[in-house]
Amino acid sequence: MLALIACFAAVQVQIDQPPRLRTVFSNGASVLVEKAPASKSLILELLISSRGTEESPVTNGLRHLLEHLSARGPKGELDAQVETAGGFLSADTFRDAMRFKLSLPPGQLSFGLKVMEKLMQMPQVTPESIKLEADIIAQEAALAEDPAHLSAAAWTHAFGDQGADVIGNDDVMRNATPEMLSKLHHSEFVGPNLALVVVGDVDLDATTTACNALLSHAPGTVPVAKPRLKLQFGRTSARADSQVVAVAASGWRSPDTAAKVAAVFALSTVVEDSFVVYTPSSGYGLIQLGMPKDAPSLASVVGKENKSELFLLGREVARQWVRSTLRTPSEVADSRGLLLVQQVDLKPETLLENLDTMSFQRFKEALEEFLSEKTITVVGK
Amino acid sequence: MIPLLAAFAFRFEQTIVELPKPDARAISIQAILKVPDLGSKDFAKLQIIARTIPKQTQPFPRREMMMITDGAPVKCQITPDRIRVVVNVAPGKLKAGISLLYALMNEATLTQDNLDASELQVQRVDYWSAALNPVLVPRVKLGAEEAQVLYHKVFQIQLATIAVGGAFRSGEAEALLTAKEAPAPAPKLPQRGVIDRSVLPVRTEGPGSVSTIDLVGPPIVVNDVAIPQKLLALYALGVGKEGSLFRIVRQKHAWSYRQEAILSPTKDGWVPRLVIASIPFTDATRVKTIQSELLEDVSHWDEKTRLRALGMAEAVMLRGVRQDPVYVYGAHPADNSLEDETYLAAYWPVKAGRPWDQASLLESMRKVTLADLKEQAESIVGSAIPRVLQGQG
Repeated sequence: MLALIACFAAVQVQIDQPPRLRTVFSNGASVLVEKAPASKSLILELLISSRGTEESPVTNGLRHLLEHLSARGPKGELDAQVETAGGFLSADTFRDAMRFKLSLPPGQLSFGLKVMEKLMQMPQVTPESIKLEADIIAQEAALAEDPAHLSAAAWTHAFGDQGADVIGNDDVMRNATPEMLSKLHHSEFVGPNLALVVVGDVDLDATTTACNALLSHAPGTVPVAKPRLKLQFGRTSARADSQVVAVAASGWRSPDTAAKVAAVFALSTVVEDSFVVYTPSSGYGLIQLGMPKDAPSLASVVGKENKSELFLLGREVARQWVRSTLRTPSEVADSRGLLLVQQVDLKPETLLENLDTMSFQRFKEALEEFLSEKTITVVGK
Repeated sequence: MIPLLAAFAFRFEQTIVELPKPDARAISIQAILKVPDLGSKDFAKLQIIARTIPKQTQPFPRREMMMITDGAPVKCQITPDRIRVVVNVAPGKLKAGISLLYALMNEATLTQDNLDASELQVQRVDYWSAALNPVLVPRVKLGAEEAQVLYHKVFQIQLATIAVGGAFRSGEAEALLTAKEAPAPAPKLPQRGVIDRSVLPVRTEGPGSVSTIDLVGPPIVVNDVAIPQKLLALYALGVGKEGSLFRIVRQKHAWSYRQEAILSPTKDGWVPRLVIASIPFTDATRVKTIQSELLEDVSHWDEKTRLRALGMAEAVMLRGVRQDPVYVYGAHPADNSLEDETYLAAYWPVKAGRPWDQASLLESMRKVTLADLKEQAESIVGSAIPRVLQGQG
């Protein structure tokens, strides 16, 4: 196995055993291939970390704009090809990464990698295409619903400029130039920022080799990351009919994060019409509990509850949540990909392990944090 | 999604549908009922009751409900043609799950506080749900006593189709269900001087800041022989990013971020719809422009269009890509989860009089000619009645 891969790269580290093979290539790009026998779909995900291209007020929205422009392919031809082949291509921008996801019929790996190759190219960008996509993103922003408004407000309050809404600033996007986007593309699409995930009924070695052929062209420039630092607690408001209470989590790997995930799910079982928002991150992030504006205070709800029962329930719901992200090839690719692109050894099972070893005391402290001053509360107005 | 394994058993009027899947990681237990004919106020009251049922039951307070489902929410939904109550549990919890379903259907705790809270929730509707079901549910005060009467009148488990799918042995669910005693007959509704036959008023504006355009095509009856042609036409018009709607409304005009072709259920059948959500607009000619540009586009469809539509249909129907135009729940499509598969196995025979047979539907869609495809698309777009709900700034 190693011999085959060594033909293509000087330094490769095989970390996991089949049926999953994770490989880091010499330019820092990583590939994860998972075999899903008899799977009805072949899933390919290309993820591009925002490491080194974290947004500031003057760049807020450029990554999202680039995602929109790239997703159509260099000549706007990709969707017709993919959909005629019985597939579907989607794209998302998160704070920590951009993601292109391709779902295809089994046996279409070669076609899928050609699509990915096109997605890695800088698209043809003109002032007209920038204006069109900025208009479309304005439409997208208008459709955002309560959880998105509340979450964006919580992030901005907590992390200041580093927490700006990923959907982007309208002015920044409208004033973007092809040169600015080309520069961003050049900075983003470097080896250490790239991860490719393939899940389906595929051969692990051959698929890894094929992925290397695609990713090996990316330069090995190591980006300089700017981790989120500022963390401010307190209250703010957003246009919404609901409210959220958020606590900070220090990263997917941390046992503290597992306790807070269990705590938020425990709370969601006792607060009616509540919702949970958390995007797995290797760095600081927010774990949010959303609820109706007129919901009773968390302290009064939790005060009536038996904490030991909440502990058992919260831990079990948290486990179910993690497992629910690994049921289908599509979910496996989403879940593993978003963690892989942030840190090559980050995986969903880390949280499960931390839940297994979580003490009642740690859970109780996490639960109490939601009731403490160390929260960000966003009220709807 | 192929219910060939589904077994049907009959007990009084109750039908039991089993969909055992030994490798599944959960069990979905559902009761499905027809939506009764109700006037607008009673419909509003039914909505409030449906919102209140999952909150608490007599045998299982909220906490115990959560313990049974491991935190998964129980649901009670009213779609345009069905009511469904859903309990999802982990493997090994079939018996507890069935007991919970019975409790939800017969012993929900409809307290005045919970009913009042539900009344407020019923009034909160998002733009997409409002576009797809543009009725204006009137504000009503529902007392706990009246709620109990209407609840027992409508939620009669002996009249429901019970669908159970997931990790259990064939016959196991049926045995547990048939061992259950039928609850007492429903109490009579209180006598009223005037029967509520009022018709639900229709919305004239959106519920929030988003506008929607809904192009409503001609209704389709359940036994329409042209369903494959009509469904494929919807795929060509508005499913996927190379569909006509996406290309024209989004990529040409930037008039929308979300635009979909939908097959929406009605009490008697289906209706094809093209739904577009956008920032509020003032251009009075926009709807006409969209209709005429869509018709122009259809006139240029070729073999590539047909093959792309088929490719999308295969992606959705064979591989579960989440772009399904068939909105069995009214405001959102089924998504190939165990819960949806279980629902479809029970719903389709009741709705269409035959089992859901995806393979044969897809095979029929493969035989649709380009000429038929264009004819159906022209009919949907050309005769569509537009409904615009403008958002409020």
